Amino acid sequence: MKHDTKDLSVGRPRFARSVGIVGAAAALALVATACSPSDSGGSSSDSGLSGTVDVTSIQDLTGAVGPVGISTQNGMKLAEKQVNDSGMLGDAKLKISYQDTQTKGDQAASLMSSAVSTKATAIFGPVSSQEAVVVAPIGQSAKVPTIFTQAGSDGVVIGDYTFRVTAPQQYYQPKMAAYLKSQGIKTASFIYDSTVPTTKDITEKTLPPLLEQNGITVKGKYGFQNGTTDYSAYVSKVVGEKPDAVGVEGTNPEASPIISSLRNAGYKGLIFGGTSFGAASLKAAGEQAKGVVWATDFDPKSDFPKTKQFVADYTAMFGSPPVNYAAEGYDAVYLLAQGLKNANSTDRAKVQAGMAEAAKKGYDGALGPLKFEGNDLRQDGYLQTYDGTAVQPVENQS
Amino acid sequence: MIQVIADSLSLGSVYVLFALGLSLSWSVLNLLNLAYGAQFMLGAYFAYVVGNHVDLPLLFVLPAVMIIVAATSVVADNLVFRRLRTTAGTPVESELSMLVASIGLAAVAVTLVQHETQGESKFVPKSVFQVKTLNLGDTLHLTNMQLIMMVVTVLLTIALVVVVKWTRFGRAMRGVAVDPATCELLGVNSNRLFSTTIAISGALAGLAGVLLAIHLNYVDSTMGDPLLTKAFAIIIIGGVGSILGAAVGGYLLAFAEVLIVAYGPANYRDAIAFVVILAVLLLRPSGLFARQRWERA
Repeated sequence: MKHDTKDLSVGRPRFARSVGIVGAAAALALVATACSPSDSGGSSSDSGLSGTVDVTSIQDLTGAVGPVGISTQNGMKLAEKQVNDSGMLGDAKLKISYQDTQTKGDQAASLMSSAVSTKATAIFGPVSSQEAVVVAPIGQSAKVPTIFTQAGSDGVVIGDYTFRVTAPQQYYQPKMAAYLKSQGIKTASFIYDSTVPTTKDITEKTLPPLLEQNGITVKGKYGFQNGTTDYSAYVSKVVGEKPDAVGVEGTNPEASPIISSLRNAGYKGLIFGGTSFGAASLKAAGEQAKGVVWATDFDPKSDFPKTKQFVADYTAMFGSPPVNYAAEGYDAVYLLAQGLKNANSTDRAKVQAGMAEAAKKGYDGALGPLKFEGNDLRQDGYLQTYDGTAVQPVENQS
Repeated sequence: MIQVIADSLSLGSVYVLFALGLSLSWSVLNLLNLAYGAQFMLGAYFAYVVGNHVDLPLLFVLPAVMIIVAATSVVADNLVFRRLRTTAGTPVESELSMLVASIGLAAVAVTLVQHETQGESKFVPKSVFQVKTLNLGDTLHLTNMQLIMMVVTVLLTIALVVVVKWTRFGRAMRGVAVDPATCELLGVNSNRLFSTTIAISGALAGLAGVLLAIHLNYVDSTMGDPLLTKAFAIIIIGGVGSILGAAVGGYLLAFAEVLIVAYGPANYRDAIAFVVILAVLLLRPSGLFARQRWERA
């Protein structure tokens, strides 16, 4: 089985975030003057569904998280095709325009401020948390339904017009904590990317209390900045603490170098992490990554009918099996499609209400049976491990 | 403490190895080469490509990659930098236009590699070099690649200092750095000297790219960017134009960073390290080893 996972909620945070925030502020000012509450913008129609339903996707297709965005986009394209082929929207056809943020916050803000002024009925936001927190206020302020995947930090689902079809990682970390306890782990240390909101939150806020509840003491947490090129000092510090397990919470390119450094420094204990772990990100570490464990939201080997169908359809369309990002993109398009169907209109306010109704009911998706809390997905997730060449499910996970 | 020193030497080698070629082109060509990070990345990428197509060890892959990157650097010089040098009205104009051009060249290289790799991280195959750990009891862990990098860095620094200071070629380089027009009148072919220098700089970038890609266990289209910022800081601390200064600056920065991780708040490593740099520059604005402001080479 091949299952590529990369975290992110990522990006090149240093400049992008600050520039993006300035961009967002400027964009918000423009939006505020351009759109009154009663004017939902563009040429959204209240005369039923027909013709083309224009939707914009603002996604990281190049740059640091380009592969995550491309995978998400592939899932969206499959869903777009299936929605249109199935006649789910009657005579109307979804038409998603895909735009590239280049994993830059300022670019994301600029594209978003343009998109809300078009006739786009809804907008799909970028996977990077740094960009999502910039984009979300623009969508919310302009009252355009804005749907995110991945972007797991606070500040993304900020109002009734913002939705997220990826459960934040903290919702599947209890499983990880319980698993560590079951393996007899008593102590743990962390090496983490302190510039990525998701990995920072998991390491500093989410996991410590969960580990404590399971009788696991955190010996140390050592944050590095995105773009660090040598982890030797962090690894030496952690190895010197002799923890039973080491948590590696970072982005996709950071996974293998840190794991290799840990093993090269003689660390033989359990290594665990987040969705940045996966076949692609662990390939470089190879045998050194054997036995690492992580929590994720997608199990491509699941027996759930919708998941099986999605895996088959995706593989047929793209020639390779899907990863979690593709499943999330797929489910995100279906949330919009159900919203459109419920609204029977392209009016943004009605579509938002339709999507909220779909989220309240829940629906079967590629990720499994989907339940929302408000506009935000909630999932228990799955534990997976690496056998040196491929990803496998962790057996006997509670 | 032994491990802290070893980690500092290892990280310092990473920084110095990267900064040497950049320092050379800045010293001689007045070229603030922002494409240097991309040249470094190309070295790592070509090692990945060569390693995946030919079953050759590092001893063969390394020189092959150095030659390829040196050649691409010379082509870039002939097509872009030389024209800008000769057509610019003033030295300042020339430096600025080359700086902007180097940003463009970097973007082209990064985009091409990003397209080829689909943005995914790659790695140099183990058939090129097998990283092994050398343990000295419980107190010291070093890999064979870290040791190689340390030795190569010291040897290269010494070699460059000797070449620049005590050879005919080095004297010509220093002369051209100060006054290319007068050097031309004295029979120095400045264009050939520029090309040779940029080829050496490119080869050094290639060498750093290969070794660091193996050490870090990853190849990525943007892997040169973070190092570029550090390298500029290192060169400025050492004093622009001083090879030895760049080396000392690299090790100083590495020691500061490792000490912060080992004994201080790791999250603030970069911030504290750059505060130290700022303090050094406030005390010695021209850097530690610059005898005169902006005296090069």
